[in-house]
Amino acid sequence: MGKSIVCGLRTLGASTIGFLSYLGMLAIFYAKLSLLLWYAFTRPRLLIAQLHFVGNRSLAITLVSGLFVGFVLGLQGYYTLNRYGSEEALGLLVALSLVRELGPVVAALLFAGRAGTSLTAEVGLMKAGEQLDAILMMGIDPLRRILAPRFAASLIAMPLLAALFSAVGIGGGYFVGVVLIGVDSGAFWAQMQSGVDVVHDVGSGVLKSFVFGWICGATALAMGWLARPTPEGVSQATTRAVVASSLTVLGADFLLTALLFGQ
Amino acid sequence: MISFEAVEFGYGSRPILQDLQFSVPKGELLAIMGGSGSGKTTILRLIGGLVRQQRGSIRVKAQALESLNSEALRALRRNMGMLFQAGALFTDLSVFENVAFPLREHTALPERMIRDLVLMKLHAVGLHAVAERMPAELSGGMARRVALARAIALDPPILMCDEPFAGLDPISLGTVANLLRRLTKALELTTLLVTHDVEESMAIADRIIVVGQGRIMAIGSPQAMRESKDPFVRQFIDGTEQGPIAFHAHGPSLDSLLELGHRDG
Repeated sequence: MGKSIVCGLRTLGASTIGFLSYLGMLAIFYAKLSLLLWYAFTRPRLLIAQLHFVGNRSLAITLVSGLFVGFVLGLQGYYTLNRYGSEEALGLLVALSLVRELGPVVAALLFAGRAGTSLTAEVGLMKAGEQLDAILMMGIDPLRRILAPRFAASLIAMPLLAALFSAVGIGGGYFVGVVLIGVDSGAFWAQMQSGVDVVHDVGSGVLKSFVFGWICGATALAMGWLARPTPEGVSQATTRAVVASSLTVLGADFLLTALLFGQ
Repeated sequence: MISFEAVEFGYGSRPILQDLQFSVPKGELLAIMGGSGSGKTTILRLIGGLVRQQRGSIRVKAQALESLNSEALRALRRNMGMLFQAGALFTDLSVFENVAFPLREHTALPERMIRDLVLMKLHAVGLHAVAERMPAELSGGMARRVALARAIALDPPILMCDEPFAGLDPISLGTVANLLRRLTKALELTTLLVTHDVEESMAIADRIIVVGQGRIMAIGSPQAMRESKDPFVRQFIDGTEQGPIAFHAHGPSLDSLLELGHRDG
Protein backbone atom coordinates (compact mmCIF):
# COMPACT_ATOMS: atom_id res chain seq x y z
CA MET A 1 0.00 0.00 0.00
CA GLY A 2 2.72 2.43 1.13
CA LYS A 3 4.87 1.38 -1.80
CA SER A 4 2.14 2.06 -4.35
CA ILE A 5 1.50 5.54 -2.86
CA VAL A 6 5.22 6.35 -3.12
CA CYS A 7 5.24 4.98 -6.67
CA GLY A 8 2.17 7.06 -7.58
CA LEU A 9 3.68 10.21 -6.07
CA ARG A 10 6.91 9.58 -7.93
CA THR A 11 5.05 9.22 -11.24
CA LEU A 12 3.04 12.37 -10.51
CA GLY A 13 6.22 14.28 -9.64
CA ALA A 14 8.02 13.05 -12.75
CA SER A 15 5.16 13.98 -15.05
CA THR A 16 4.81 17.41 -13.38
CA ILE A 17 8.53 18.07 -13.84
CA GLY A 18 8.27 16.83 -17.44
CA PHE A 19 5.31 19.14 -18.12
CA LEU A 20 7.03 22.14 -16.51
CA SER A 21 10.25 21.56 -18.46
CA TYR A 22 8.20 21.31 -21.66
CA LEU A 23 6.53 24.64 -20.82
CA GLY A 24 9.97 26.09 -20.10
CA MET A 25 11.28 24.88 -23.45
CA LEU A 26 8.26 26.42 -25.18
CA ALA A 27 8.78 29.74 -23.39
CA ILE A 28 12.47 29.83 -24.37
CA PHE A 29 11.56 28.95 -27.94
CA TYR A 30 8.88 31.67 -28.17
CA ALA A 31 11.30 34.23 -26.72
CA LYS A 32 14.10 33.27 -29.13
CA LEU A 33 11.75 33.31 -32.11
CA SER A 34 10.35 36.73 -31.19
CA LEU A 35 13.85 38.15 -30.70
CA LEU A 36 14.98 36.83 -34.11
CA LEU A 37 11.92 38.17 -35.93
CA TRP A 38 13.87 41.17 -37.29
CA TYR A 39 16.05 38.79 -39.30
CA ALA A 40 13.11 37.91 -41.57
CA PHE A 41 12.99 41.50 -42.81
CA THR A 42 16.64 41.37 -43.89
CA ARG A 43 15.75 38.58 -46.35
CA PRO A 44 12.70 39.94 -48.22
CA ARG A 45 12.74 37.15 -50.82
CA LEU A 46 12.37 34.47 -48.18
CA LEU A 47 9.65 36.49 -46.47
CA ILE A 48 7.70 36.95 -49.71
CA ALA A 49 7.94 33.23 -50.49
CA GLN A 50 6.57 32.40 -47.05
CA LEU A 51 3.85 35.05 -47.34
CA HIS A 52 2.75 33.29 -50.49
CA PHE A 53 2.89 29.92 -48.74
CA VAL A 54 1.00 30.80 -45.57
CA GLY A 55 -1.05 33.73 -46.87
CA ASN A 56 -2.03 33.23 -50.50
CA ARG A 57 -2.67 29.54 -50.07
CA SER A 58 -5.03 30.23 -47.15
CA LEU A 59 -7.01 32.76 -49.18
CA ALA A 60 -9.59 30.42 -50.72
CA ILE A 61 -10.69 28.76 -47.48
CA THR A 62 -10.73 32.15 -45.68
CA LEU A 63 -12.80 33.92 -48.34
CA VAL A 64 -15.33 31.11 -48.79
CA SER A 65 -15.75 30.73 -45.00
CA GLY A 66 -16.11 34.52 -44.61
CA LEU A 67 -18.82 34.59 -47.26
CA PHE A 68 -20.87 31.83 -45.61
CA VAL A 69 -20.44 33.32 -42.14
CA GLY A 70 -21.69 36.62 -43.62
CA PHE A 71 -24.72 34.84 -45.15
CA VAL A 72 -25.61 33.26 -41.80
CA LEU A 73 -25.10 36.52 -39.92
CA GLY A 74 -27.38 38.30 -42.42
CA LEU A 75 -30.15 35.72 -41.94
CA GLN A 76 -29.89 35.32 -38.17
CA GLY A 77 -29.42 39.06 -37.66
CA TYR A 78 -32.47 39.88 -39.73
CA TYR A 79 -34.73 37.36 -37.89
CA THR A 80 -33.66 38.71 -34.49
CA LEU A 81 -33.75 42.43 -35.37
CA ASN A 82 -37.07 42.04 -37.19
CA ARG A 83 -38.71 41.07 -33.87
CA TYR A 84 -37.90 44.52 -32.53
CA GLY A 85 -38.56 46.33 -35.81
CA SER A 86 -34.97 47.44 -36.15
CA GLU A 87 -33.82 45.51 -39.20
CA GLU A 88 -32.09 48.69 -40.51
CA ALA A 89 -29.41 47.95 -37.89
CA LEU A 90 -28.49 44.75 -39.75
CA GLY A 91 -25.42 46.35 -41.33
CA LEU A 92 -24.16 47.46 -37.93
CA LEU A 93 -24.74 44.03 -36.37
CA VAL A 94 -22.98 42.19 -39.21
CA ALA A 95 -20.05 44.62 -39.26
CA LEU A 96 -19.47 44.70 -35.50
CA SER A 97 -19.78 40.90 -35.17
CA LEU A 98 -17.26 40.36 -37.93
CA VAL A 99 -14.78 43.14 -37.25
CA ARG A 100 -14.63 42.72 -33.48
CA GLU A 101 -14.95 38.95 -33.06
CA LEU A 102 -15.72 36.56 -35.87
CA GLY A 103 -13.24 37.92 -38.39
CA PRO A 104 -10.12 37.62 -36.22
CA VAL A 105 -11.22 34.44 -34.37
CA VAL A 106 -12.59 32.33 -37.24
CA ALA A 107 -9.81 33.44 -39.60
CA ALA A 108 -7.27 32.44 -36.91
CA LEU A 109 -8.89 29.03 -36.42
CA LEU A 110 -8.86 28.48 -40.20
CA PHE A 111 -5.27 29.71 -40.34
CA ALA A 112 -4.24 27.25 -37.61
CA GLY A 113 -5.86 24.41 -39.54
CA ARG A 114 -4.62 25.37 -43.00
CA ALA A 115 -1.25 27.13 -42.69
CA GLY A 116 -0.31 26.10 -39.13
CA THR A 117 -0.44 22.38 -39.89
CA SER A 118 1.70 22.90 -43.02
CA LEU A 119 4.31 24.79 -40.99
CA THR A 120 4.43 22.14 -38.25
CA ALA A 121 4.67 19.26 -40.72
CA GLU A 122 7.31 21.05 -42.81
CA VAL A 123 9.57 21.87 -39.87
CA GLY A 124 8.98 18.45 -38.25
CA LEU A 125 9.87 16.62 -41.47
CA MET A 126 12.96 18.79 -41.92
CA LYS A 127 14.01 17.73 -38.43
CA ALA A 128 13.26 14.06 -39.09
CA GLY A 129 15.22 14.20 -42.37
CA GLU A 130 18.25 15.80 -40.63
CA GLN A 131 17.80 18.89 -42.82
CA LEU A 132 17.87 21.18 -39.78
CA ASP A 133 21.11 19.50 -38.64
CA ALA A 134 22.51 19.95 -42.15
CA ILE A 135 21.71 23.68 -41.96
CA LEU A 136 23.38 23.89 -38.53
CA MET A 137 26.47 22.16 -39.92
CA MET A 138 26.69 24.77 -42.68
CA GLY A 139 27.14 27.38 -39.94
CA ILE A 140 23.62 28.73 -40.45
CA ASP A 141 21.12 29.27 -37.66
CA PRO A 142 17.90 27.45 -38.68
CA LEU A 143 15.90 29.66 -36.32
CA ARG A 144 16.90 32.66 -38.43
CA ARG A 145 16.97 31.07 -41.88
CA ILE A 146 14.00 28.71 -41.69
CA LEU A 147 11.74 29.74 -38.81
CA ALA A 148 11.96 33.55 -38.65
CA PRO A 149 10.58 34.16 -42.21
CA ARG A 150 7.70 31.74 -41.56
CA PHE A 151 6.91 33.43 -38.26
CA ALA A 152 7.02 36.92 -39.78
CA ALA A 153 4.80 35.75 -42.64
CA SER A 154 2.23 34.48 -40.11
CA LEU A 155 2.27 37.83 -38.31
CA ILE A 156 1.71 39.74 -41.56
CA ALA A 157 -0.74 37.34 -43.20
CA MET A 158 -3.07 36.87 -40.24
CA PRO A 159 -4.40 40.49 -39.96
CA LEU A 160 -4.75 40.64 -43.77
CA LEU A 161 -6.68 37.37 -43.87
CA ALA A 162 -8.90 38.48 -40.97
CA ALA A 163 -9.61 41.79 -42.76
CA LEU A 164 -10.51 39.97 -45.96
CA PHE A 165 -12.69 37.54 -43.99
CA SER A 166 -14.60 40.47 -42.46
CA ALA A 167 -14.90 42.32 -45.78
CA VAL A 168 -16.27 39.28 -47.61
CA GLY A 169 -18.52 38.50 -44.63
CA ILE A 170 -20.02 42.01 -44.76
CA GLY A 171 -20.59 41.44 -48.49
CA GLY A 172 -22.35 38.15 -47.66
CA GLY A 173 -24.51 39.86 -45.02
CA TYR A 174 -25.42 42.59 -47.53
CA PHE A 175 -26.35 40.02 -50.18
CA VAL A 176 -28.71 38.09 -47.86
CA GLY A 177 -30.10 41.10 -45.98
CA VAL A 178 -30.44 43.65 -48.77
CA VAL A 179 -30.57 41.72 -52.05
CA LEU A 180 -32.52 38.64 -50.93
CA ILE A 181 -34.64 39.87 -47.99
CA GLY A 182 -35.06 43.49 -48.95
CA VAL A 183 -33.57 45.50 -46.08
CA ASP A 184 -32.96 49.10 -47.15
CA SER A 185 -29.51 49.40 -48.70
CA GLY A 186 -28.96 53.00 -47.50
CA ALA A 187 -29.87 52.07 -43.92
CA PHE A 188 -27.57 49.05 -44.06
CA TRP A 189 -24.51 51.14 -44.91
CA ALA A 190 -25.49 54.28 -42.94
CA GLN A 191 -25.94 52.38 -39.67
CA MET A 192 -22.65 50.65 -40.22
CA GLN A 193 -20.87 53.93 -40.97
CA SER A 194 -22.24 55.68 -37.90
CA GLY A 195 -21.94 52.76 -35.48
CA VAL A 196 -18.51 51.32 -36.25
CA ASP A 197 -15.64 53.18 -34.66
CA VAL A 198 -12.49 52.83 -36.75
CA VAL A 199 -10.03 53.05 -33.87
CA HIS A 200 -11.96 51.17 -31.21
CA ASP A 201 -13.73 48.49 -33.26
CA VAL A 202 -11.55 48.01 -36.33
CA GLY A 203 -8.36 48.68 -34.34
CA SER A 204 -9.22 46.08 -31.71
CA GLY A 205 -9.93 43.56 -34.49
CA VAL A 206 -6.57 44.27 -36.09
CA LEU A 207 -4.80 43.97 -32.72
CA LYS A 208 -6.56 40.68 -32.02
CA SER A 209 -5.68 39.20 -35.40
CA PHE A 210 -2.06 40.28 -34.94
CA VAL A 211 -1.93 38.51 -31.54
CA PHE A 212 -3.62 35.44 -33.05
CA GLY A 213 -1.06 35.44 -35.86
CA TRP A 214 1.69 35.40 -33.24
CA ILE A 215 -0.02 32.53 -31.38
CA CYS A 216 -0.73 30.41 -34.48
CA GLY A 217 2.68 30.98 -36.10
CA ALA A 218 4.77 30.48 -32.96
CA THR A 219 2.78 27.44 -31.82
CA ALA A 220 2.91 25.73 -35.21
CA LEU A 221 6.66 26.30 -35.51
CA ALA A 222 7.32 25.28 -31.89
CA MET A 223 5.45 22.00 -32.33
CA GLY A 224 7.43 21.21 -35.48
CA TRP A 225 10.73 22.22 -33.86
CA LEU A 226 10.11 20.11 -30.75
CA ALA A 227 8.55 17.16 -32.62
CA ARG A 228 10.05 13.70 -32.21
CA PRO A 229 12.00 13.09 -35.44
CA THR A 230 9.81 10.17 -36.59
CA PRO A 231 6.74 9.98 -38.88
CA GLU A 232 4.59 9.28 -35.82
CA GLY A 233 6.17 12.17 -33.90
CA VAL A 234 5.51 14.61 -36.76
CA SER A 235 1.88 13.51 -37.10
CA GLN A 236 1.33 13.93 -33.35
CA ALA A 237 2.99 17.34 -33.42
CA THR A 238 0.70 18.46 -36.25
CA THR A 239 -2.41 17.47 -34.30
CA ARG A 240 -1.04 19.10 -31.16
CA ALA A 241 -0.36 22.32 -33.07
CA VAL A 242 -3.98 22.67 -34.22
CA VAL A 243 -5.42 21.87 -30.79
CA ALA A 244 -2.99 24.13 -28.89
CA SER A 245 -3.35 27.03 -31.37
CA SER A 246 -7.16 26.87 -31.43
CA LEU A 247 -7.54 26.71 -27.64
CA THR A 248 -4.98 29.47 -27.09
CA VAL A 249 -6.69 31.69 -29.68
CA LEU A 250 -10.07 31.23 -27.97
CA GLY A 251 -8.60 31.88 -24.53
CA ALA A 252 -6.67 34.92 -25.74
CA ASP A 253 -9.81 36.24 -27.46
CA PHE A 254 -11.69 36.22 -24.16
CA LEU A 255 -8.83 38.02 -22.39
CA LEU A 256 -8.43 40.60 -25.16
CA THR A 257 -12.17 41.24 -25.34
CA ALA A 258 -12.28 41.76 -21.59
CA LEU A 259 -9.31 44.14 -21.80
CA LEU A 260 -10.43 46.07 -24.87
CA PHE A 261 -14.16 46.30 -24.28
CA GLY A 262 -14.42 45.92 -20.48
CA GLN A 263 -15.69 48.90 -18.52
CA MET B 1 43.26 19.90 -36.46
CA ILE B 2 40.91 17.81 -34.29
CA SER B 3 41.64 16.29 -30.89
CA PHE B 4 39.62 14.37 -28.32
CA GLU B 5 40.80 14.32 -24.71
CA ALA B 6 39.13 11.85 -22.34
CA VAL B 7 35.74 12.47 -23.93
CA GLU B 8 32.67 10.79 -22.49
CA PHE B 9 29.19 10.94 -23.94
CA GLY B 10 25.89 9.23 -23.18
CA TYR B 11 22.15 9.62 -23.57
CA GLY B 12 20.77 10.01 -20.03
CA SER B 13 22.30 7.27 -17.93
CA ARG B 14 23.19 5.14 -21.00
CA PRO B 15 26.87 5.64 -21.88
CA ILE B 16 27.70 5.69 -25.60
CA LEU B 17 31.34 6.75 -25.68
CA GLN B 18 33.92 6.55 -22.89
CA ASP B 19 37.45 7.82 -22.51
CA LEU B 20 37.82 8.79 -26.15
CA GLN B 21 41.34 10.01 -26.84
CA PHE B 22 42.72 10.63 -30.31
CA SER B 23 43.78 13.42 -32.62
CA VAL B 24 43.58 13.96 -36.37
CA PRO B 25 46.30 16.13 -37.95
CA LYS B 26 45.68 18.39 -40.94
CA GLY B 27 45.63 16.56 -44.27
CA GLU B 28 44.81 13.14 -42.83
CA LEU B 29 42.04 10.85 -43.99
CA LEU B 30 40.82 8.95 -40.95
CA ALA B 31 38.35 6.10 -41.25
CA ILE B 32 36.20 5.33 -38.21
CA MET B 33 34.92 1.78 -38.21
CA GLY B 34 32.95 -0.34 -35.79
CA GLY B 35 29.78 -2.33 -35.33
CA SER B 36 26.30 -0.85 -35.62
CA GLY B 37 25.45 1.32 -32.62
CA SER B 38 29.07 1.59 -31.51
CA GLY B 39 28.94 5.41 -31.52
CA LYS B 40 30.75 6.18 -34.80
CA THR B 41 28.19 8.74 -35.99
CA THR B 42 28.13 10.27 -32.50
CA ILE B 43 31.86 11.06 -32.88
CA LEU B 44 31.07 13.14 -35.98
CA ARG B 45 28.12 14.82 -34.23
CA LEU B 46 30.40 15.67 -31.29
CA ILE B 47 32.94 17.30 -33.62
CA GLY B 48 30.16 19.29 -35.29
CA GLY B 49 28.85 20.41 -31.90
CA LEU B 50 25.43 18.89 -32.66
CA VAL B 51 25.68 17.05 -29.34
CA ARG B 52 27.79 18.03 -26.31
CA GLN B 53 30.06 15.67 -24.41
CA GLN B 54 29.48 15.15 -20.69
CA ARG B 55 33.20 15.03 -19.87
CA GLY B 56 36.52 15.76 -21.52
CA SER B 57 37.51 18.25 -24.16
CA ILE B 58 37.17 18.36 -27.95
CA ARG B 59 39.36 20.80 -29.85
CA VAL B 60 38.77 21.73 -33.47
CA LYS B 61 41.18 24.15 -35.16
CA ALA B 62 42.67 24.84 -31.69
CA GLN B 63 39.30 25.87 -30.27
CA ALA B 64 37.72 23.94 -27.41
CA LEU B 65 34.14 23.27 -28.49
CA GLU B 66 32.80 23.26 -24.93
CA SER B 67 33.92 26.87 -24.43
CA LEU B 68 32.32 28.28 -27.59
CA ASN B 69 29.07 30.21 -27.59
CA SER B 70 26.55 29.58 -30.36
CA GLU B 71 27.87 32.41 -32.56
CA ALA B 72 31.47 31.13 -32.34
CA LEU B 73 30.30 27.57 -32.94
CA ARG B 74 28.47 28.69 -36.08
CA ALA B 75 31.63 30.42 -37.30
CA LEU B 76 33.66 27.27 -36.65
CA ARG B 77 31.12 25.10 -38.48
CA ARG B 78 31.75 27.10 -41.63
CA ASN B 79 35.05 25.22 -41.72
CA MET B 80 33.28 21.87 -41.78
CA GLY B 81 31.43 19.99 -44.47
CA MET B 82 29.24 17.12 -43.39
CA LEU B 83 27.67 14.37 -45.40
CA PHE B 84 24.78 12.89 -43.42
CA GLN B 85 23.88 9.22 -43.49
CA ALA B 86 20.57 9.83 -45.31
CA GLY B 87 21.91 12.72 -47.40
CA ALA B 88 19.65 15.32 -45.71
CA LEU B 89 19.02 17.10 -49.01
CA PHE B 90 16.42 19.88 -48.97
CA THR B 91 13.46 18.18 -50.59
CA ASP B 92 11.86 21.41 -51.85
CA LEU B 93 15.01 22.52 -53.71
CA SER B 94 16.47 21.09 -56.92
CA VAL B 95 19.83 19.32 -56.97
CA PHE B 96 21.43 22.54 -58.27
CA GLU B 97 19.85 24.69 -55.55
CA ASN B 98 20.87 22.19 -52.86
CA VAL B 99 24.53 22.50 -53.80
CA ALA B 100 24.19 26.26 -54.29
CA PHE B 101 22.57 26.69 -50.85
CA PRO B 102 25.76 27.14 -48.74
CA LEU B 103 27.31 29.33 -51.47
CA ARG B 104 24.29 31.62 -51.54
CA GLU B 105 24.16 31.80 -47.74
CA HIS B 106 27.84 32.47 -47.09
CA THR B 107 29.13 34.30 -50.15
CA ALA B 108 28.11 37.23 -52.29
CA LEU B 109 29.34 35.61 -55.51
CA PRO B 110 27.64 36.58 -58.78
CA GLU B 111 25.06 34.13 -60.11
CA ARG B 112 27.27 33.06 -63.02
CA MET B 113 30.11 32.09 -60.68
CA ILE B 114 27.74 30.20 -58.38
CA ARG B 115 26.44 28.32 -61.42
CA ASP B 116 29.98 27.37 -62.51
CA LEU B 117 31.00 26.28 -59.00
CA VAL B 118 27.88 24.19 -58.49
CA LEU B 119 28.28 22.46 -61.86
CA MET B 120 31.94 21.75 -61.09
CA LYS B 121 31.06 20.21 -57.71
CA LEU B 122 28.31 18.16 -59.31
CA HIS B 123 30.70 17.10 -62.07
CA ALA B 124 33.15 15.90 -59.40
CA VAL B 125 30.51 13.44 -58.16
CA GLY B 126 29.39 12.61 -61.71
CA LEU B 127 25.98 14.25 -61.47
CA HIS B 128 26.17 17.55 -63.39
CA ALA B 129 23.61 16.15 -65.84
CA VAL B 130 20.90 15.86 -63.16
CA ALA B 131 21.30 19.40 -61.79
CA GLU B 132 17.69 20.34 -62.52
CA ARG B 133 16.14 17.24 -60.98
CA MET B 134 14.45 17.23 -57.58
CA PRO B 135 15.88 15.04 -54.78
CA ALA B 136 12.79 12.79 -54.90
CA GLU B 137 13.75 11.84 -58.47
CA LEU B 138 17.19 10.51 -57.42
CA SER B 139 18.21 7.06 -56.25
CA GLY B 140 19.63 6.73 -52.70
CA GLY B 141 23.19 6.53 -54.03
CA MET B 142 22.74 9.58 -56.27
CA ALA B 143 21.24 11.59 -53.38
CA ARG B 144 24.27 10.75 -51.28
CA ARG B 145 26.60 11.93 -54.03
CA VAL B 146 24.68 15.21 -54.34
CA ALA B 147 24.97 15.58 -50.57
CA LEU B 148 28.73 15.07 -50.89
CA ALA B 149 28.87 17.79 -53.56
CA ARG B 150 26.97 20.10 -51.19
CA ALA B 151 29.33 19.23 -48.30
CA ILE B 152 32.36 20.28 -50.36
CA ALA B 153 30.68 23.31 -51.95
CA LEU B 154 32.59 25.79 -49.78
CA ASP B 155 35.85 23.78 -49.87
CA PRO B 156 35.84 23.33 -46.08
CA PRO B 157 39.14 22.35 -44.44
CA ILE B 158 37.34 19.62 -42.46
CA LEU B 159 35.15 17.07 -44.20
CA MET B 160 33.06 14.54 -42.29
CA CYS B 161 31.26 11.77 -44.12
CA ASP B 162 28.78 9.43 -42.47
CA GLU B 163 28.58 6.23 -44.52
CA PRO B 164 29.53 7.81 -47.87
CA PHE B 165 29.70 4.43 -49.59
CA ALA B 166 26.35 2.99 -48.47
CA GLY B 167 24.01 2.24 -51.36
CA LEU B 168 26.57 3.03 -54.07
CA ASP B 169 27.16 0.72 -57.02
CA PRO B 170 30.78 -0.51 -57.39
CA ILE B 171 31.64 2.11 -60.05
CA SER B 172 30.24 5.03 -58.00
CA LEU B 173 31.82 3.62 -54.85
CA GLY B 174 35.28 3.52 -56.41
CA THR B 175 34.83 7.00 -57.90
CA VAL B 176 33.61 8.56 -54.64
CA ALA B 177 36.40 6.86 -52.67
CA ASN B 178 39.01 8.20 -55.11
CA LEU B 179 37.39 11.63 -55.01
CA LEU B 180 37.66 11.71 -51.21
CA ARG B 181 41.29 10.61 -51.40
CA ARG B 182 42.08 13.20 -54.10
CA LEU B 183 40.31 16.04 -52.28
CA THR B 184 42.07 15.23 -49.03
CA LYS B 185 45.48 15.28 -50.70
CA ALA B 186 44.98 18.16 -53.12
CA LEU B 187 43.26 20.56 -50.71
CA GLU B 188 44.98 19.23 -47.57
CA LEU B 189 41.60 18.49 -46.04
CA THR B 190 41.14 16.72 -42.76
CA THR B 191 38.67 14.01 -43.64
CA LEU B 192 36.79 11.74 -41.25
CA LEU B 193 34.96 8.83 -42.71
CA VAL B 194 32.46 6.70 -40.82
CA THR B 195 32.10 3.51 -42.79
CA HIS B 196 31.50 -0.22 -42.72
CA ASP B 197 33.33 -0.75 -45.98
CA VAL B 198 36.55 -2.42 -44.83
CA GLU B 199 38.21 -2.86 -48.25
CA GLU B 200 37.56 0.67 -49.51
CA SER B 201 38.64 2.23 -46.21
CA MET B 202 41.85 0.20 -46.21
CA ALA B 203 42.55 1.46 -49.72
CA ILE B 204 42.11 5.19 -49.10
CA ALA B 205 42.57 5.91 -45.36
CA ASP B 206 45.80 7.10 -43.76
CA ARG B 207 44.70 5.72 -40.41
CA ILE B 208 41.81 3.66 -39.13
CA ILE B 209 40.06 3.78 -35.76
CA VAL B 210 38.03 0.76 -34.69
CA VAL B 211 35.34 1.66 -32.14
CA GLY B 212 33.58 -0.90 -29.98
CA GLN B 213 31.84 -1.04 -26.62
CA GLY B 214 32.00 2.74 -26.47
CA ARG B 215 35.81 2.84 -26.63
CA ILE B 216 38.58 2.97 -29.18
CA MET B 217 39.61 -0.66 -29.55
CA ALA B 218 42.38 -0.09 -32.08
CA ILE B 219 44.00 2.77 -33.96
CA GLY B 220 46.64 2.55 -36.67
CA SER B 221 47.49 2.45 -40.37
CA PRO B 222 45.59 0.14 -42.73
CA GLN B 223 48.70 -2.05 -42.90
CA ALA B 224 48.83 -2.30 -39.10
CA MET B 225 45.15 -3.23 -39.05
CA ARG B 226 45.64 -5.95 -41.64
CA GLU B 227 48.47 -7.45 -39.60
CA SER B 228 46.77 -6.99 -36.24
CA LYS B 229 46.35 -10.06 -34.03
CA ASP B 230 43.81 -8.27 -31.82
CA PRO B 231 40.70 -10.51 -31.81
CA PHE B 232 38.40 -7.47 -31.95
CA VAL B 233 40.14 -6.03 -35.04
CA ARG B 234 40.45 -9.46 -36.67
CA GLN B 235 36.75 -10.19 -36.24
CA PHE B 236 35.78 -6.84 -37.72
CA ILE B 237 38.16 -7.08 -40.68
CA ASP B 238 37.47 -10.74 -41.43
CA GLY B 239 33.72 -10.30 -40.87
CA THR B 240 33.28 -13.48 -38.80
CA GLU B 241 30.48 -14.17 -36.33
CA GLN B 242 32.81 -15.69 -33.74
CA GLY B 243 34.70 -13.16 -31.63
CA PRO B 244 34.33 -10.46 -29.00
CA ILE B 245 31.74 -8.49 -31.02
CA ALA B 246 28.34 -10.11 -30.40
CA PHE B 247 25.97 -10.35 -33.36
CA HIS B 248 22.95 -10.40 -31.03
CA ALA B 249 22.07 -7.26 -29.07
CA HIS B 250 22.85 -7.40 -25.36
CA GLY B 251 19.88 -8.51 -23.22
CA PRO B 252 17.92 -11.57 -22.12
CA SER B 253 18.42 -14.80 -24.10
CA LEU B 254 15.86 -16.03 -26.63
CA ASP B 255 15.26 -19.16 -24.50
CA SER B 256 14.33 -17.10 -21.46
CA LEU B 257 11.98 -14.93 -23.54
CA LEU B 258 10.31 -18.00 -25.13
CA GLU B 259 9.92 -19.60 -21.72
CA LEU B 260 8.33 -16.42 -20.36
CA GLY B 261 5.94 -16.39 -23.30
CA HIS B 262 4.85 -19.99 -22.61
CA ARG B 263 4.36 -19.25 -18.92
CA ASP B 264 2.26 -16.12 -19.64
CA GLY B 265 0.15 -18.06 -22.14
